Amino acid sequence: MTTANAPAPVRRNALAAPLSRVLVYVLLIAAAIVALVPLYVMIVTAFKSMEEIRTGTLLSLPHAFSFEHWWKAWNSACTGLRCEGLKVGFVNSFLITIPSVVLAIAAGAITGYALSFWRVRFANVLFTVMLIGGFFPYQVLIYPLVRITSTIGIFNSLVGVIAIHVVFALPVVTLLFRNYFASIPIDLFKAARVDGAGYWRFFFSILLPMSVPMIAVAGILQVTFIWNDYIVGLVFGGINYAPMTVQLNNIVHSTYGEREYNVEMAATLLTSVIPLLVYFTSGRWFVRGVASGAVKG
Amino acid sequence: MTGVQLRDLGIRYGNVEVLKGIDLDIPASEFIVLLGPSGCGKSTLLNAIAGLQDVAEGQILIGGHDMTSVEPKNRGIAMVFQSYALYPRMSVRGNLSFGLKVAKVAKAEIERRVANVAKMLQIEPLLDRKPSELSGGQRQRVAIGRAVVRDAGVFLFDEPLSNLDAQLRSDLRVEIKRLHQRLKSTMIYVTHDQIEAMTLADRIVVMKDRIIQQQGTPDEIYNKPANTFVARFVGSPAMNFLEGVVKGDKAIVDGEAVRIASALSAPLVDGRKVIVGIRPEDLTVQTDQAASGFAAEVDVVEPMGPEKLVWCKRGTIGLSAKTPSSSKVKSGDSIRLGLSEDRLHIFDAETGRRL
Ligand SMILES: Nc1ncnc2c1ncn2[C@@H]1O[C@H](COP(=O)(O)OP(=O)(O)OP(=O)(O)O)[C@@H](O)[C@H]1O
Ligand SMILES: [Mg+2]
Repeated sequence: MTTANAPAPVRRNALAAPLSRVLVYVLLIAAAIVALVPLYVMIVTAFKSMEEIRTGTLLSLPHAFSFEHWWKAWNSACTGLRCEGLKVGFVNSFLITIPSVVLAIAAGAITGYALSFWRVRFANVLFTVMLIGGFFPYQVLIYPLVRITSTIGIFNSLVGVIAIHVVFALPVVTLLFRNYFASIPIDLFKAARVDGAGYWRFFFSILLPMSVPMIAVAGILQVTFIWNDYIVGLVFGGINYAPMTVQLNNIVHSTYGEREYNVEMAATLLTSVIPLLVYFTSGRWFVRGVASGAVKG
Repeated sequence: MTGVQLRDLGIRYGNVEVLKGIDLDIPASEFIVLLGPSGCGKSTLLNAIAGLQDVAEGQILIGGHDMTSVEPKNRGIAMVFQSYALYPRMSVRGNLSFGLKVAKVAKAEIERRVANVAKMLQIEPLLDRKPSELSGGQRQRVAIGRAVVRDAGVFLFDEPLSNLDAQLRSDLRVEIKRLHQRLKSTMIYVTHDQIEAMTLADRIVVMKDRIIQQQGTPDEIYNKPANTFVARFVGSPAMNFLEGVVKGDKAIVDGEAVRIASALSAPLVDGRKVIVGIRPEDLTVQTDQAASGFAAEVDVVEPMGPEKLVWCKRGTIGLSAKTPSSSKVKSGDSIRLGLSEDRLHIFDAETGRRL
C-alpha cells in the first residue's frame, strides 16, 4: 500500500499546471524541429545520388544509400588547386587545435592563478586590460597582427596560427580560471604555505588536481572554438596550414561544373564531426563538486 | 621548547588599522587562548604569527629569534584552520605527509611519523580515504594530525571546533588538551567560545577594538575582569550590571544601599558614579519577603539540568540569577535577590574600568 501510494504527490505536482506545461513542450518541440531540419536535410542529401537530388525532393529519404560522396569529400574533392580532399585540412586542424588548446589552458591557468592567489602588482589593471583585449572584435586586430607576425617571421606558418589562437584565447581562459580559483577557500592556500609549498608546488600538487572540471570546460570551449575557426586559419595559416574549415569553404565555393551537393554536405558533416564528438562525450566532465568535502561540511 | 613574543605589533588592511600595540609574551609550553568577539582581529593576529599576514609595525619573536619577515615554513609553526583546509584531491595519508615531502624528509621517516600521528589521533583506519569521505569530526582530526606531524614548537589553532556539533566539540576539546599535555608545545588557540577558553587555557587574552583588553589565567579573567567588556563577555549568562552612586562605604543602587567597600581596592569619594556588577550565581533567589536584598519579580525560569536560570524584572532593570534545580520559583513570583557583597565587581561608570 505504502509503496503504491508513495509517488502520488509527485504526480499531482506534475499535473498542477497542465496548460503551461503543454505550452512549454510545444515550444520546445517547435524549436527542436527548427534546429534539426537543416541537419536532417544535410544528412539525407549527403547519402543521395545527384540524380535523386535533381528531382528536388529535399526532405525524402535517399532511395539508395551511397557512401562514395563521403569518400570523395574526404579523399579527392578539389580544394582550390589541389584535389586531395578534406583529409589534409583534417590533419592541419589537429596540428593547430591541439597545441593551441594545450598552450592556451596552461597559460590561462597560470595567469588566473597568479591573479587570484598572489598579490601581483597592478593585478586588477592587468586583468582589466586583458579583458578589454578579449572583448575587442578580432577582425579589427587582423591587420596589425599580420604586420606583427610577418615582422617576427611567423606569418604563414603553423607557429603563427597557434600563437594567434593562444593570444585570442588567453583572456577568456584566464577569466574562467581566475573565477574558479577565487571560489577556492584561501585557507587551503595558507595551509599549503605553512606546509612549505611555494608558487609551483601549490599550483601543481594542489590546485591543478582540483581543477580537472575547469580544465575540461576550458578545453571543450577552446577545442570547438579553434576547430571551428575560419578567419585565423585563412589569414595566418597560408596554403600549407589551411585548417579543415578553410578547405571546406574551398570545396563549397569551387565554381566550375555542376555543384555536387552531396559531396558538399558530406564534407560539411565531416568537418563538424570533431566538435560534435567533443560535445557528446564530455558531458560527464561538467559534473561539479570535485572540491566538495575538503572545506567545511 | 619555543616561546613566542609579540612586540608592539600593528597590522593594517590598507588604511584600516586592525590591530595596534599588541604586546604579548607567551612562555614555552603555554596554552594561550585568544578570546574576543567576531571581527576583533584574532585570526589576523594568528595569521601574522604564522607569517601569512604582513605586519605594519612591531616584531614577532619565535624561540627568541626575530621571525617578523621569515617564510611560514621556516617559523617552526603548525596551523589548524576552522575550515579544516584539507587538500581535497589527496588521501588522508597524502594530507599528513605533504609538508614532510615538501621538506624532503626521508621516506621511511615520513612513514614513521604519519603512522605515529595516525595512532595518536585514532585516524589509522581513515588513512586511505579522501577528505570528502570523512565526517566533520574526522576531518578536523586529520587537520590536527597534519599540524602535529610537522613536529613544530608552536601550534596555531584558528577556531578549530566551531564547525562541529556540541558533542564532538567537547570530545575534541578534551583531545586537544590531552595533546598539549603530551606534546608540551606552545599552543595559541583562537576562539570566541568562552567555554573553550576557560577549559583549555593556561592563560586567556581577551581582545576587542584592536587591542588586548586583559590577559590572565581563566580564574583571573572570570573573577577579576579588568573592565565591563571582559566582565560581560566571559560568563554565561552575562554578569548583571547596575548603575549606582557612591555614598560612604555603600553605593545607592535603584534606591537601595549596597555595601561595596569589600569589593574595592581603594575607597571612593561620595557622589562618584559606578557600575555594580554581579554574576548570576552570586545572586540568591529568596522567596521569603522578609529577607534582605532586591525585591524583584520572576519573569522566566529556564531549567538547565543541575540548576535553574531565573530571569527577573525589577522595574525596567533585568537581572538573571541561578538557583538550585530543587527551587520551586515560577514566573510571576515576587522574590528577593540577595547579593553576596564580597562577590561584587565595581567599575567606573564612565571608563568601564574595574575599581
Ligand atoms: N582582507 C581584508 N581586508 C580588509 N579588512 C579585513 C580583511 N580581513 C579582515 N579584515 C577586517 O579585519 C578585522 C579583523 O578580522 P579577523 O578575521 O582577524 O577577525 P576575527 O577576530 O578572526 O573574527 P571571527 O571571530 O569572525 O573569525 C575585521 O574587522 C575584518 O573586517
Ligand atoms: Mg577568525
